[in-house]
Order: sequence, then C-alpha cells, then structure tokens
Amino acid sequence: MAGFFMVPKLLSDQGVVLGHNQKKYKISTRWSQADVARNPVNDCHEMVQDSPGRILLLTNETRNNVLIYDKNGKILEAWGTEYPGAHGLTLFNENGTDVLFICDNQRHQVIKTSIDGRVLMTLDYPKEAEVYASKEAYIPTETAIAPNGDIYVADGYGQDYIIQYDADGRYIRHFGGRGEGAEYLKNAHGVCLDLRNPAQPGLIVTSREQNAFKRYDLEGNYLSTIALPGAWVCRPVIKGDYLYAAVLQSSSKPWQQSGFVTILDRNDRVVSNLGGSEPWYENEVLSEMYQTVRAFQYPHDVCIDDEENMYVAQWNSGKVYPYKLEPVV
Amino acid sequence: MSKNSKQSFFAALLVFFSVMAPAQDTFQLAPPLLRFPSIFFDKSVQVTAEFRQPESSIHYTLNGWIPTEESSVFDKPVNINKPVTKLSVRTFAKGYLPSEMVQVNFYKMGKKAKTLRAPLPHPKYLGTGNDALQDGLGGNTDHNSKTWLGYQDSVMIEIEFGDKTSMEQIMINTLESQNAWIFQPSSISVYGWDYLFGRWRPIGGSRPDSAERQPEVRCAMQTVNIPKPIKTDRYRLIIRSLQEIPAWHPGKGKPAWLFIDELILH
Repeated sequence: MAGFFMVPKLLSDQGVVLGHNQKKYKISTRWSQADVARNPVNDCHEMVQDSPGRILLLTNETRNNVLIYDKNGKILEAWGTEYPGAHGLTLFNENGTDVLFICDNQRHQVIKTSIDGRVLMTLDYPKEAEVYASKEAYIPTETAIAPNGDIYVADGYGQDYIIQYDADGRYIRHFGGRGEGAEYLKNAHGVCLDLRNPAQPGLIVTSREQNAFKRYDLEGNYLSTIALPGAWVCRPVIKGDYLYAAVLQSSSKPWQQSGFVTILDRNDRVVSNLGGSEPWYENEVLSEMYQTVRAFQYPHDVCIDDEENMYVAQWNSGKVYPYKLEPVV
Repeated sequence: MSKNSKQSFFAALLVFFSVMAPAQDTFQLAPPLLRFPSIFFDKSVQVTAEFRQPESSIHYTLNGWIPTEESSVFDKPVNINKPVTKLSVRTFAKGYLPSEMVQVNFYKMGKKAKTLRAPLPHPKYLGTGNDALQDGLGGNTDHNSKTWLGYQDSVMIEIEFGDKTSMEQIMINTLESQNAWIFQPSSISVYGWDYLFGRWRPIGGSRPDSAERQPEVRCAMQTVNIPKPIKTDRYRLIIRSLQEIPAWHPGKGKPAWLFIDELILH
C-alpha cells in the first residue's frame, strides 16, 4: 500500500523547472483554488503580499477587484466593485498598518484604501503639474511609496510622467515624460523604490517600449538606464538583493503571447529568465532576450512572498488565475 | 475480498491517485530567433538561428517539410541562394513539446525597373521612400518597420524598364496581420502597354483568399504568372485592397489596410 501513497509525491517532484543560475523555479499553473463562478477574474494585473502573509491579486473584473489568497491558493476574501480599470496595486506599511494604492486607468485616479477596501484617499489627475489638458490624458498604471510616505505615480498609459506627491496627496513635482534623450520615458508602466543601498535610496522606473528600466533619485533627477534588450518589462519588484519583473512580451515576437519573467541581481545584471533565453553578456553588453518556453502568455506582474515563492499574474491570457513558482534549491 | 474485486480495488486506487496527483504542466518551446538582413537577396543570403535554452536543439529543412529531430541541425549559419527557398525551423528539447514551426521564404531579386511610380502611402507607413519597393529590404512581420508601405486603398503601380522586356512573373510581398487590420489584397491585375493597339492589355492576375481567417502574422508573397508574355517596356499593376473586412473580424465592413514592401520582376 505504501507504494501507492508514494506516487503523488514522486510525480509532484518532476515539475518543469524554469530559470537559470541561482534562480530556478518549479512552476504550478494550478495554484489558484478560486471558483470561477464565485470569484471570476479578467486581466490579472498585479499582486502583493500583506503583513499577515496573504497574497492579494488586483483584477479589472468588477465583481471582485481584489482577491485575497492564502499561500496555498485558497481564497480567503474578496472585495471591490468600483475599479473597472484596476491596474496598479501597491502595498505600503503606514506606521504598522497595511494600506493599498490602486491605480485605475479608466477612472484616471489613484485610490488609497485600507487592506479591506475602505477608501482613504483619492488622487485625481494632477492639474497642478500643468501638463494635462484633461483627466483623460492621465492614465496612471503604478504607484510607489517612499519610506517618508511620498507617493510616486507612474502615468504609464498617459503622458509617461512620474508625479510625486507627499503622504497627504499634495503635488510636489513631476518628471520623466516623453522626449528624445535618456532621461525620458516611453510607456512608464511601473515604478518602485530601490532601498537596497541605504546610502543611496532611489527610484527605478519602467520604460517598457524602450525595453529598459531607468534610475532616478528621489527628487526625480535621472541617473542611469538599465537596458533589457528584447524585453517589454512591466513593473520592477525588489525583494532582498534581487529585482524581479514580468516581461509582457518579447520584442522579437510582438503580440504573440511571448512573455517571460526576468530577474536581475543587485548589480543590475540579468541572472535568470523564467521561460526566457539564458542571459548572455557579450563584452559586458546584454544580448537580446526572448521567450524560449511558452509557460506564460502575457505576464504582467510578479510577487515574491516571505518564503521566496513567486506568483505571476497575467494580462489578456484567457482569464487565467495566477501561477505559483517555488524556488529550486 | 475476491481476487477479482481486489484487482479492481487496486485499479481504482491507481485511477484515484493519477487523478489526485498534481498533473504536470507540459510546455511547448518557443521558436528560435532567426536573423537575416532581408528575405530578398542578390546572390545569396546568410541566416543564423539562436535559441538560448539549455539542452535544446534547432532543426530545419529547406524543402518545405516539417522539421523533426532527424532534420538538419541549425548550429551554424545557413546559406541560401536558390531563386525561392522555404526555410522551416523548429526547436526541440527533452521534457518539452517541440515549438511551432516557423517558415520564412527567401527570394532572389529579379530585374530592376528603370522607374517605378507608386502612390504616396499613408503618412504613418511611408517606408523608406521612392525606392522602397525595389530596395531588397523587407520581409519582417512588424508592420511598424520602416520597410513597409501602408495603404488604406487600392494601389496602382507603373513600371518602366529602359528596354522592351518579356515579363513572365511578378511577385509582390504583402503583409498579413489581421489583428492590425492588415489583409492580403483582394485581387491583383497586371497590364502591359500594347504599342500596336495603343492601349493597356491585361496579361495576368490573381485573387488571393484575403478574407480567410489567418491568426498568424506573416508575409504573404503574391505571385502573378503571366501565361502569354508580351514584349514591352511599360507595365501597370493594380493591387486592390480588401474593401470590406469580413464579418468575423471586429473591423467588419470597414476597409482593410494593404501593406507592401517589395516587387520582384522576372
């Protein structure tokens, strides 16, 4: 009898391993236990983990914009019906309390909520920046919150500006935007704080159509570009020493479900591509990257939990629930 | 428990576990990255393939057959010099389904026209200018690439050779990218100037199946054979764009885009 019980264990050890070098993962596409009749999703845009360890998913399905999972994929809670353009989800621990920032690209607003969905603050389009003729020109996709509470909003589908507010939502400045020159952005789809070097806190901003991340200081001065040839990178996600990002698609195969996930070490060097080409540097220059395994269609965000597991949310991929990937040691 | 029922009990148990055991994800490989200067060439063209996936291999054929693991290994550049060559490529690796097949057709260039007059393309898809249709560049599937001329209407092209030539075949490379509302032309007509009667004489034509659903983004080479060539120095080509996008498409009833990047005259 014991032999039979061994079967599932053995089978479960043989999953497909994705990635390279020190960052390899076993993928499970069946992590989510959500019942599609009760908790449907549309585009799965972004995911975060909250302080108690739960996994939050933001979808533009207005029957439940936020799904809250445990790490085993069981739905614990769901809320939100007012975010038709739910796109960006950022969690910030505000003096010991988790709060969320939702970018809604149909409402042209950023909404700060409590962890259970109570609206705490709404940021309309930044008139004060004097670069927007109307609210429609502003299509926020992402937020990042600095340790002092400053809010950085990436207008990734609008004019590609990064708008900085104080913790109370008062406009401070804007930077980025479109133009010719390294300091400008094209499709500023994501933004995050990089606090890995405490002496030099800064911002990393996505310039997706340029296949790059760009570094700025906290006052919006451009510092440098991290070129990621071939990769339509979504938002940067930093956990520990590493930067993780979903790559919506490969430039070599646009709009044909050619996405993968990329991982950079703290020297901004790509060390692993999950479902993508082995990172290759020729004379210190990164070669074009592309999908090699069709594990993902259009991955849109990754979340790394407290146990280093990865969750991948996908856009326009047949309403699939997120996948979970466990590190292989 | 009888022997029989014992057996069926174990069989049921097996079924139970094969259902309960987390079924494994099996993934398909993606195709390799192919690199070549253009699908059009003068004497020959070199194609390289890259696929940075550990323990995988790229296989190819040049005769239109679907590549298998027995086909030639694509581990060094492939040289192509025949007038028309269909390169078919797939990737393979243990534990994965082979990639879909990628096919690229390569064409040797024909006779160059002395002058070639085409209407101005749409301002968004101007290509590289006057010479775009005979510059030997093109054949990628990105409609934003500068090699494509994009039109929202039918196109008349006037071709003049410096001398009287019997043209036997015209090839026109078009793009098919139906998600981007770019369809193959609905028909192509070729005329030659008949000096005897002082008029344009129809000498050939074709009717591509442009309304048929094609999920893939691809180059579609339109080949028009001229059964009875005439000796003349002036030719006229009418490429009709699809006037109404078919009913199955979100752009139903609206005019389709027509994209062309090269003319080959034999």
